[in-house]
Amino acid sequence: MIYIDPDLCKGCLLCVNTCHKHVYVVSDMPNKKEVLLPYPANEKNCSNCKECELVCPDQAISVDIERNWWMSKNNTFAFNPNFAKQKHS
Amino acid sequence: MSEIDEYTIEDNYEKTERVKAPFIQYLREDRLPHIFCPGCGNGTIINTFFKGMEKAGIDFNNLAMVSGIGCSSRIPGYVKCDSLHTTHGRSISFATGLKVSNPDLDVVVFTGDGDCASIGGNHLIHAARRNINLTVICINNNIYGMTGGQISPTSPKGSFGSTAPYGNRDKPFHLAELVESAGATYVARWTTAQVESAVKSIERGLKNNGFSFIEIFSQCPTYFGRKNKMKQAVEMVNHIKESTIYINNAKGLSDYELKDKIVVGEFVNKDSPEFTDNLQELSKELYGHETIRRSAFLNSFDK
Repeated sequence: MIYIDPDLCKGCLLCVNTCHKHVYVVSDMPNKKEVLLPYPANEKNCSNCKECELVCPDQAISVDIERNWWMSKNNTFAFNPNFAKQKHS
Repeated sequence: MSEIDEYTIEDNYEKTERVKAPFIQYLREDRLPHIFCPGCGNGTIINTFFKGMEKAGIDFNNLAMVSGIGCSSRIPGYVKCDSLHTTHGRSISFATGLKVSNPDLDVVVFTGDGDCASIGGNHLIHAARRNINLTVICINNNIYGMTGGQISPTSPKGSFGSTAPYGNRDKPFHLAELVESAGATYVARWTTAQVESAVKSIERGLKNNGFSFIEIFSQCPTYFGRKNKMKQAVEMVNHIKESTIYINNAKGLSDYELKDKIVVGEFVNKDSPEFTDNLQELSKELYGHETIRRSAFLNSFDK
């Protein structure tokens, strides 16, 4: 889930500029502080690179996307997500 | 005790618990949101520093931050660690005193371009010549942002400012090349458009035993951008991104071709004897033991 804190965001839109998967969309209406907040409309495109978290000057964005969301949590034998990390000895 | 202490009264109103950004754990949350303009590069550099610190494996309680005067020097005020906010341009000399008196500390200096290059240039050169184990992060935004957009020693030729309404005629300072020739052991320059590379070089600079200087080219949309027809932060970042050249590609080019370009990359990464180690060696040669440290954290003053 991607959450943007409306109290901290100042509306510089650097996150919209940096995201290479086009996750963010700029809202039409300004909020109470007259800031055009970004909105994570295409959250399924997110590749979890966390570049927006790093670039955001106001520490407003938190990216917490579930890895391997297509797996059911009880199923551990069908697909091993740590397969590429295992050491061949 | 029937007196009511107003500081111990609990607030019982319900605060909504929200998801927080990962690097907000190192910041003083009651001071947020910080004073920087929308789109300022200083906030990005706070994030890059914490990510580099986590990668280098440095203990946050062992960290001390020193800063001078300026927009960028307000950063240590928002961080939970021990910090020194010192006089204009003298941040590196204060940090030298900290490091010599307690060599186990990890001392990090945050300076701007006006603080580091114009008034504190002398201190910068000599700290690099001595090769003392500091990490200096210079945030270069090409202008004096806090005082109203005056031309700084690093603003490029032809740029406009409030003291240069017809364009700046002087040549800019190249800080990374200056510190490299002064004898620092780790020098790098990156921009706010290349954050991951800046994280990597901050990690190497913190691990390096010697003077490490990381210049980060930042945007100032309020003063530099408004005077130079780039009013939005996004426009400024795209302009910075387009005008960068990697150091290996810039080797054979002439000065005319590199006129409006920013050369980024690692300039030096070498080993050289360090200042505080030299002091301890001198003490061992003359007296047979290391120097006496009068620290408040030590119980006995003998060692």
